[in-house]
Amino acid sequence: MNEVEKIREELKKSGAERIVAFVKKENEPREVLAVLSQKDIDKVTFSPLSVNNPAKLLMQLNGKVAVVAKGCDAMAIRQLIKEGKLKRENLFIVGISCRGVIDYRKLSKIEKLSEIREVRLEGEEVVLKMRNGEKRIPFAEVIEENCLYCEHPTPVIYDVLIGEAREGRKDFSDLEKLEKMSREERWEYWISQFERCIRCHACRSVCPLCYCEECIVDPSNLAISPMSTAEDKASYPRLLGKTVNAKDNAIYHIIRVLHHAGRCSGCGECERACPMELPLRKLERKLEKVVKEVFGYDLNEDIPFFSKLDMLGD
Amino acid sequence: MRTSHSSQSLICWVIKMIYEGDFLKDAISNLLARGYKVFAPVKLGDFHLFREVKSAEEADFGYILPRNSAKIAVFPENEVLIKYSSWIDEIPFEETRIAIVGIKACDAKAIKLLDEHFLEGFVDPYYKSRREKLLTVAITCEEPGINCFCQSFGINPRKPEADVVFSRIGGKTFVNAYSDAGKDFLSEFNLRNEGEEEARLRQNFERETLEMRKIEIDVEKLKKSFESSYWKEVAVNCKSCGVCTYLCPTCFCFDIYDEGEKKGVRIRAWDSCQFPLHTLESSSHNPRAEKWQRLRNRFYDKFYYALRKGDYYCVGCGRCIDFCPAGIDIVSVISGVR
Amino acid sequence: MMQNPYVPYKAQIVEIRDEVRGPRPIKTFKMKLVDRERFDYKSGQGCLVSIFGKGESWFTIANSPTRPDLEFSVLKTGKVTAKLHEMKVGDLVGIRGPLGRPFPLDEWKGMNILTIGGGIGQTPLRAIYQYVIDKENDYGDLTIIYGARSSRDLVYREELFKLIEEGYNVHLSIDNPEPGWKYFVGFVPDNVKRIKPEAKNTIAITCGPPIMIKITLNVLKELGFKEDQIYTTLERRMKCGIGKCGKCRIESYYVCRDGPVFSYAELSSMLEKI
Repeated sequence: MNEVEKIREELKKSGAERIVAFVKKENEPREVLAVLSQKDIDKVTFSPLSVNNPAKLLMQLNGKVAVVAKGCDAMAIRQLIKEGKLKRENLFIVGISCRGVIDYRKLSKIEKLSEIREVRLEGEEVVLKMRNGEKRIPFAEVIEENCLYCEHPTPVIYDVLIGEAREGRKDFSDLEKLEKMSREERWEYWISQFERCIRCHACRSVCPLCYCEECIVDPSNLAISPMSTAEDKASYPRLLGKTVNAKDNAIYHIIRVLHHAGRCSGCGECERACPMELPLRKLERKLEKVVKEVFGYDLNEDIPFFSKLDMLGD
Repeated sequence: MRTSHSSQSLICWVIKMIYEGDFLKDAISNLLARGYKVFAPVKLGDFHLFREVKSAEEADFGYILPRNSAKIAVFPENEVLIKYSSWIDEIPFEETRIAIVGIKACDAKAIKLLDEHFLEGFVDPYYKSRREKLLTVAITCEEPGINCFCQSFGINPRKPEADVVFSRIGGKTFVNAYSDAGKDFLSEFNLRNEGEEEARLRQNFERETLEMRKIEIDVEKLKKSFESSYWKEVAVNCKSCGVCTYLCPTCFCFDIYDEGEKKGVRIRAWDSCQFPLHTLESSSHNPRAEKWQRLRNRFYDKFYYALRKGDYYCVGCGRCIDFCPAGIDIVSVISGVR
Repeated sequence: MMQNPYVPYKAQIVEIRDEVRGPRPIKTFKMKLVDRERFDYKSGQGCLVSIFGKGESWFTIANSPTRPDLEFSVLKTGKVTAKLHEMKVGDLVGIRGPLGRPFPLDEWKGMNILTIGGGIGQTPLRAIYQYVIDKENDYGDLTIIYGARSSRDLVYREELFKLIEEGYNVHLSIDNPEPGWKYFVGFVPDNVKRIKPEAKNTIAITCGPPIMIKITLNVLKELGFKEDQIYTTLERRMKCGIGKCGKCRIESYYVCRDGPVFSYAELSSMLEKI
């Protein structure tokens, strides 16, 4: 049985009414997430182009759900369980021991996407089933950079695991280049990145941890409840304007990332969703490092980071 | 029901010329020297963005489509409407002439659609001040992107509706003018008329249909499917972000707000019908509170509501498909309406 | 309309009346344009009132064009309205208008006019009944049905009591009994049911909370009103006021430009139900 068949088999065995898994996208070689029922089980597929994190989708669904989760997806699911947003008993997690996913944008520079029919991993190579024949390229050439530093390639939570458990990486060598920069250089680097941001909010919208209904960085001056008084609305905190400029954009991204301290699952959805290709993971990674090294917090602890900070007091 | 906006067919004196040299870069240099504000694609890492350029060297033309649309030249992400203190201090207007170099057929058509919106009924003076000073220098497409479907709307990617059209055919640089402004502009260059053989080459190039996706729009079906649960299914993975609308060359929604209490600016900035705050009323009532309603609104906007004016409000550039983080595909969604 | 539709006229507040006090206060502001004569407008049209540094809010003009100056009744609900409520006679604001499509009062000549209002929804109706009163030879019978939660929540209270004294056909209601209340107690649609206005040759205009409008619509249909005899005004978030920003869009209509006045015949032909 190959990986996809095993996934289908386990999803079927789960008996869950609803399934969150990857299906092939029309017209392109990549997969997208879908909510399926048992009768659609044959549509389920999986490949190194099954990149998205299903955790956010799970929050919309009630009842028993079976879900396919890679290492980082499972991190997010566990975090949402910790935060009371998902119930463990409602989930049947088909864990995938992950070797990393393909960076679609990198792949598109190497091969014409419209020629690719199917993608699979074989050893250290990616096998591309093309319109005419097959092509092999080294996985290292197209792997998402984020996956190179993945700490939890094997799901930390699952009901059934597909594939051999594998070790992750625990260092922060990916940050060295930025950390070596002078403050001025770093500022310049980040401003030159933030300046591109168009504030489409895709990074926030896709992030499984950005689930607040009212976000502190929303440019709105409106509170949502019918109970809000005019004074509430008039004095609604407005941290930054809607105007797109590098400094306001910087505030947006920095505040957003700070709210992920000790929570980020490392799935990289933010960076993947960004149409302007901002290196958002670098911010999250730096924060991960600070949480670990300065506060001695480990993401595997049962108690959420912010609760632990409260307990530590001063 | 659909009307053609082709201005090309109305003009019989189209200039068809050959240029020896790097026309696009020379065009930028020429425009900059004459004081134009020039928007052109800039390469950043692996992708291109339309930006204002200060020199021809900044521009790069190795793309199928820049990631953002060329609409920023006429409808920027933010713009100041009024500068105020206790009362109006200044009403800033774009004074400089503007050029877009490197626009493709889809974005060029989109500007015509934006014209209908901003210049019909109440004339939007800010849009108009840019638009009437705009010169477009287009590039024809050699090949389509994976999610291109412009031909579904009668757009010919080999014959953009622009002032000047640049094509690279068989190693030769063809430049045509399709308007007075384009003709004037080309008079700045040392051109020679195309020969008979070259004309044939160009005509064949223009006539060739590209192999690309096709969207099937069934207006009657759309009308009947408004209340269908289909829209909830399509929206289940929608993230309610603004990628589709912000990258869309025809989306025009904006917000207006004041920045600065005693002294400041009244600004308009892009907004998205996919954001819940777009339609939230002060009473807390929201006519499109659910994400599936907002997503449905976007699709009906493009393919149903817009028909009142006689045209679909989509040009088939495919950006919203390429960059939707949930993989929602306008071609599949509209073609599969039930 | 001004050359640049985004630039407001300067106006001065010349009178402020407290309509409703309490946690959701309503005040009526009378304003006079400073540098020019008042523009021509029609009942049902609105303006964007502009306070630099706060923003702009849409209000239907609360008085008939047959009366002087411009009046706006403002429920304190957000940033702009909170600021307006702090303002004094003599203060300056900006006004952009007139905006939108008015009630087709010319088409209604010779017909009976029935206004059915609830709460602050009485505002556009006031611009109608004032007009009909001032041009009474042009119209048939005028009937005003209006209600609010309590007697203290009735806007234009004094004006309405005076109309009753003058013998106009005004039917007021409040939701719950109050000592000394001489008129109907109950919801507005029930009052309509009780009064049973004649549908023949009558135009009914109803404005108020969505639930009131919904039930009133059913009552009117039972009374024999056809959809093209019933009008309302819609409320949407608005920014530009000229059909450009897209916020108030319903299908291909912009409420700010193609509304706020719609007949029920128009509304029921739309896919997106209101």
